[in-house]
Amino acid sequence: MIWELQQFASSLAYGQLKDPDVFVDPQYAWISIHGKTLHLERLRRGMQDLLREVKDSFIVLSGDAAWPAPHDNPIVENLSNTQRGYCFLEEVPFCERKHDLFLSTVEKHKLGTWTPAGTCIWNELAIRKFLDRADAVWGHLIHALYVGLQLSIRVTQLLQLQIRNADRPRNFVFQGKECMVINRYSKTTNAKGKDGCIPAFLSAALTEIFLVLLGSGFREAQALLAGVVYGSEARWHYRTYVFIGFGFLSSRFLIYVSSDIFVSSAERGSSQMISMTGCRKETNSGSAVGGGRVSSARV
Amino acid sequence: MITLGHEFISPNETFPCTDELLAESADHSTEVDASHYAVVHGALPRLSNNVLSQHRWLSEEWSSLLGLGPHLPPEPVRVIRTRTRSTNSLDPNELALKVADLVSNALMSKLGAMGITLDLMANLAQHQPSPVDPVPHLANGDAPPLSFSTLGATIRERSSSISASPVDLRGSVHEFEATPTSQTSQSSGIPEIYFPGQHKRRISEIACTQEPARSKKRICRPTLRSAASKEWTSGLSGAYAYGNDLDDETSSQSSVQYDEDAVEDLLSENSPPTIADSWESNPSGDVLVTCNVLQFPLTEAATLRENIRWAMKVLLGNPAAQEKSEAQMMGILIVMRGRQDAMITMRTGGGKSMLWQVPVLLNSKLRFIVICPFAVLLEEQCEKAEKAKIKAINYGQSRVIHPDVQILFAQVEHVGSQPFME
Repeated sequence: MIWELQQFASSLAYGQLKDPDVFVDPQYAWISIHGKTLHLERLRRGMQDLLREVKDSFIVLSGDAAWPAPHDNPIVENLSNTQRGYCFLEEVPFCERKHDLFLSTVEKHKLGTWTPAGTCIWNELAIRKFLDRADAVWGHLIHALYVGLQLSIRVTQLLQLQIRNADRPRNFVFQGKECMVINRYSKTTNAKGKDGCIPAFLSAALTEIFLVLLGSGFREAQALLAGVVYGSEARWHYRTYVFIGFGFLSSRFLIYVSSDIFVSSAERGSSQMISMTGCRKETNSGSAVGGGRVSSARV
Repeated sequence: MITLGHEFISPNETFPCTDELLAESADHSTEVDASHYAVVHGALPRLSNNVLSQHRWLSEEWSSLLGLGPHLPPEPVRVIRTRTRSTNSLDPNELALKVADLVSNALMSKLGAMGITLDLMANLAQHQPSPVDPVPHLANGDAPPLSFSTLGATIRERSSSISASPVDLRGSVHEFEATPTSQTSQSSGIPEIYFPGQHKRRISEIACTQEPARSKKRICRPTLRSAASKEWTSGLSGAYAYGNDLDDETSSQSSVQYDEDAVEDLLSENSPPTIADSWESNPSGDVLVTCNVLQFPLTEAATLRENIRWAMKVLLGNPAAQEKSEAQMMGILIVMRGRQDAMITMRTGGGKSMLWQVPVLLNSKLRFIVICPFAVLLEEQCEKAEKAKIKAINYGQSRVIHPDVQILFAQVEHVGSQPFME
């Protein structure tokens, strides 16, 4: 009897409908989510702006005159290699030039000086500034990844995205000229006791940018410099994960996701902002890795 | 994300449920992988290629929706489906033509073997609905466009000799004199028509007669009266009706042989004045006006226009279809004439695609390279051509180009590539 009443109560509770939270413009020009408006044209323009921001900020930081030419040769990655630390950057030609950008960066930004004895004296303040600016480059890209990948946007899930094999196999796999992101850790991982294996493909524009940032040795330079100021564990983090800020696995990058360029102008300046995918987030400061969706993350 | 996906991304027939069929028959399905191989070898079943393809498609659609390519942002699914429903609605005229097609095919196959030819085309021409009133018979409650009584009245026997000779089904045999005489132009500003190998050779006479001319070149130009005509489809527009029989330009059961070369002669070899010629003749005039593609004599031009209109009806599946504008018609005529450079600009929706679809239907020997800057538009055009049974290929999807391919669709990026040039 109690069971039946429970069922009846559940059916009443769960069968009750609420007002719609999402409304699509009949002309398909905008979508209203939680009372916030997402203009599709603004969304597309914003994506272009993000990609441009990544390129511009990288050019400034690297000191080059222009965005590097994309890698022309198809990448052949050993898909079956699950060895810890492996990724496509270990393959030729990436492994041969992975320190080029590091050396030029140290020189251009005066991050350190060599003593006659052959040791390097690091300028930690300059390194921290450089890492901050480098994080900003990745921040724009991660914002683009956040929207461009049709994967789950749970914070813990995003933070687990790996470039190299570690506790889990890498998430970013390059084959030919494609970048495939395999979503492994998910919200059902703990419940099921196993990871998922859901592929997604980066668009060509995002793939090119991602490949340049990784293949040019930019991330390796970050890793080496982070090792100087944050320790060896930070170096490993930078080499392994995408979402790295201040030397540790951080949801700090999600502050970039809070950009309001996709929200109607009336929404600008609001403390409650809406991301492109419709998830709300709080913009007050916070720390550490949060659970659940972005809305629950304290950044 | 989910809402946008529902509204803008809809799977098509790209992924039929064949993923597991071959694997299952080969004992390598995912289920067998999981239950057998994983247990035996301690390995996990891997993502199948088809799953990857599906996710690649989804990623491309999502990226396109975000404006990151590789395609233009998709149209809302509801808009597409609404349009599809409206175009799929049953049209009485279309139904009538299909019935006529079935009847004519059946009768042709039976009677053709007995040496009896059914002149369906004349009947179809008589009952051709006017553009103004596309369904006059059905609307007025009169007899349908084709009835057995009308068909029976037109059955006539033809001897094998007659049937072997090129005869226009409509009775329009166009004759050209071997030694043309001067033709007085209706307007002194209209340039003369030039024939290959001769200077200022003019068409002296365009006669419509059933009688074969002795020392005159006879060109049989069956008029596309209806998609129901098997003679027509087997000869002139083989690419449409018999996509696999492109080389079979004559039908064994057909009583009419279509001289496609003759039409080519008419359209290109007998090269009427080019744009440059026209400019020279009338440099002060407008290009399209001075080009005056209808330099064929009046009856010839009318026949060609009629053919073009009927090709449009077949392509669009609409018996009331006709050219959208005079510019479209003239553009098609320019293209069919060939051997002259032309730049044709038309507004969006002006019917530019007809400029390469119609000529291919009318002359299966023609070959086109269509270059389009937008991949989505290109795929759409390729699909349309394939639906019309035109042998078309999208260079972006397949680099294997069979000689029979009539239309090669390519993107701008492909054209400059070395493989494409080769």
